[in-house]
Amino acid sequence: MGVGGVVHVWVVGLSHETADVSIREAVSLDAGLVRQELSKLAAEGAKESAILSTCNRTEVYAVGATSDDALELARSFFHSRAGADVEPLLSRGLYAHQGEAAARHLFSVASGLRSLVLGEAQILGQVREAYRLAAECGAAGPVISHLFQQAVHVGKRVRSETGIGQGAVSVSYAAVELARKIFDDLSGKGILLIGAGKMAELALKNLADHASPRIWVANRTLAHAEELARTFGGEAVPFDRLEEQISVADIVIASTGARKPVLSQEMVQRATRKRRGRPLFIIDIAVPRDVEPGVHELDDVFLYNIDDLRAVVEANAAERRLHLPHAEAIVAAEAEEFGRWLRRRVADPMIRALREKFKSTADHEIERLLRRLPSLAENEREQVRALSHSIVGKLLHDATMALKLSAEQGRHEEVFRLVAEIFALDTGAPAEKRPAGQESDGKSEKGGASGSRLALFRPEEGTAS
Amino acid sequence: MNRLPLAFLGASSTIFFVASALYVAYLRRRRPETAFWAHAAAVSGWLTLSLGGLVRLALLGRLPFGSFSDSLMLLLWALVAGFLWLEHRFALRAAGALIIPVIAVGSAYIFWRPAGGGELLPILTSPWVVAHAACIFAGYCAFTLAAVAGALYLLLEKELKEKRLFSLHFTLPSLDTLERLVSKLILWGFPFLTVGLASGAVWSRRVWGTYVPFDAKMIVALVTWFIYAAELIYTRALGGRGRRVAIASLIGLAAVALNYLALGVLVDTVHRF
Repeated sequence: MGVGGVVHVWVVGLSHETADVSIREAVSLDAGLVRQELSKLAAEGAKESAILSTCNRTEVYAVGATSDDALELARSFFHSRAGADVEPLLSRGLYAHQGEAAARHLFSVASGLRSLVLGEAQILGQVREAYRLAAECGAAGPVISHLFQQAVHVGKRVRSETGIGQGAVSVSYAAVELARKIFDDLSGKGILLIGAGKMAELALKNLADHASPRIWVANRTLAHAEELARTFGGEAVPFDRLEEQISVADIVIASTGARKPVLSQEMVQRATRKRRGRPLFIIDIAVPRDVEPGVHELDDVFLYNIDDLRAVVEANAAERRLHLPHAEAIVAAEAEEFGRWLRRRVADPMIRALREKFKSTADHEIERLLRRLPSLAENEREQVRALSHSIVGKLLHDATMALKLSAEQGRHEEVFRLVAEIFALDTGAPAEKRPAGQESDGKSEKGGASGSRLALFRPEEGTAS
Repeated sequence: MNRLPLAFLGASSTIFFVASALYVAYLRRRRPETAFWAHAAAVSGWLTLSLGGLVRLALLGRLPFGSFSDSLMLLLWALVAGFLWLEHRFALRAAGALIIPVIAVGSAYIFWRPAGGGELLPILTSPWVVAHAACIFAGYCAFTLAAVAGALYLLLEKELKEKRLFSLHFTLPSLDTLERLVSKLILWGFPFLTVGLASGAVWSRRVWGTYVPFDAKMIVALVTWFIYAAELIYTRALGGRGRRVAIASLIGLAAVALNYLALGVLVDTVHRF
């Protein structure tokens, strides 16, 4: 057992930002393979490990006895996994981060800041799943557990405190969002589907997902309309009653294969007269368009075609980028906190040794005393023992705090040496060797903390080659 | 007005100017912290204004509505309270950029041009007058907030029409929510206006012997009443919806403003505001 329990945690990985799909697919794993690789890592000497593998990234988190061990373990995964044709390309795609920087990396991944679609939520579930797999295989010890649990916490926090996950980023969901911006609640609203197509069905499905709207389906062939109506639990409407239906519907989704507009401006105008200003949202996803553009100029009518919806998606993406600095500030603060936690752990073995020493001394003396007091009943003996433990605990409380603090502040070497000397702790570690190793760790973590974001995600030179 | 309440007014006006800047900044960048500070500023401005009002109340020994300044102060105070409620209840933060600057300018106006002591003419101490003023004020307050919601409706509608989704799309609730808010506020304000006008008429009968003294203010007040009555019939009885509801709330407010501000400042009668 060492005096200082320095925790060496590294992440090595590659993602859509650093490697193209031919490399990513070579190292991508399913759940079964992740389990296999985790036990392999454990066999090779990893104290703790976890693997995050999605279609956009594969990352190995490893905790080792020394910094080099941890890094080597994590890196060797990629080199053994990648085939001969991909292996030479690896060095350019791999990035590696240690300690606090590794935490910051995982936190920003979990928050969706490193995702292809900024702020997407799926990754948070994947991070949770990676942790679940590691825990299941017994690969997740205290460090990996804390790291991943914090990552999930940070991911949730970033999403709730910033707008990074808001706004639809797909066309069909953008339609739903617009509908909600107009009608608020979609339940009880009437949706008229004109024509059919994959996009239209998707849009309808998304709309219906959020509420239970009334659905009408109109099609040139009534049989087809009836069939669609059955699938969506709606009502078929003959094509010649469109105008009538528009005057009652709230949302119209048009996607026929017609060469000419199906809804003319006059027709919609006549229909809106009966609506008394009730808003009408028309989604035209057909190309060529089904609805005359002039319809949009009518009062209380909102006509969006496929390009308009794409523009909405664009605007949402820009809106998400607006929240990036705030999200990154949260991630940085949480990573710093994790860094402090890591540094405090340096004191754990020392605290254990101290506690052990105090407790065994107390136990020894108490048992001697108890042997001289045979008249005590068993429950009284228990009370005496409990008292001695609570005295030890109270006596050591301040010392424990001080040791943790000294570790957090990086001035633990001197303190540990003194404590070991004063209490004659047998730490069994070569006291001279340790400070050098810790010194360099402390520096590299600090460097990571103050480095720019770019520097952080650039493969660190010399570590990944 | 005494110097002490005025000091509070000056302070609250300054705070409201700061709050205005923050609300505008929030609309531009939409950072949650900005929203927090804007809200904090609005609340502290309102508390300062409340303190000023309480001091005025203590010095005067009765509800302060004897002068244009006093009444404006009361109205501003109620508007800020109403806005804070809207902000809390409907996430209507964007309204802050619209209404708080008006509040700031209004309180600055009272601060720079306070009208006199506010001694009431003996005929104005009747409980009918108190009821008349209080009701009219509650109505005005509801109508102003309705117009704010109406204006936001039209602005959001404009964004949706132009298909350039911008700050309002990302900060406002739905068109439907705004529209229902407009209708609801008008529905609340209308009975107050009605009772206010009726109690005014009763008092007028006692003092002047006629229910409806035909001065400019009375005529505009009746027109206002008809505008809101028409709006209510359109929405409640005919099921009218959409942008016309929002536009009506603005027309109604224009009538209120004409009556309260323009005639209140220009025409010097016993019916000053």
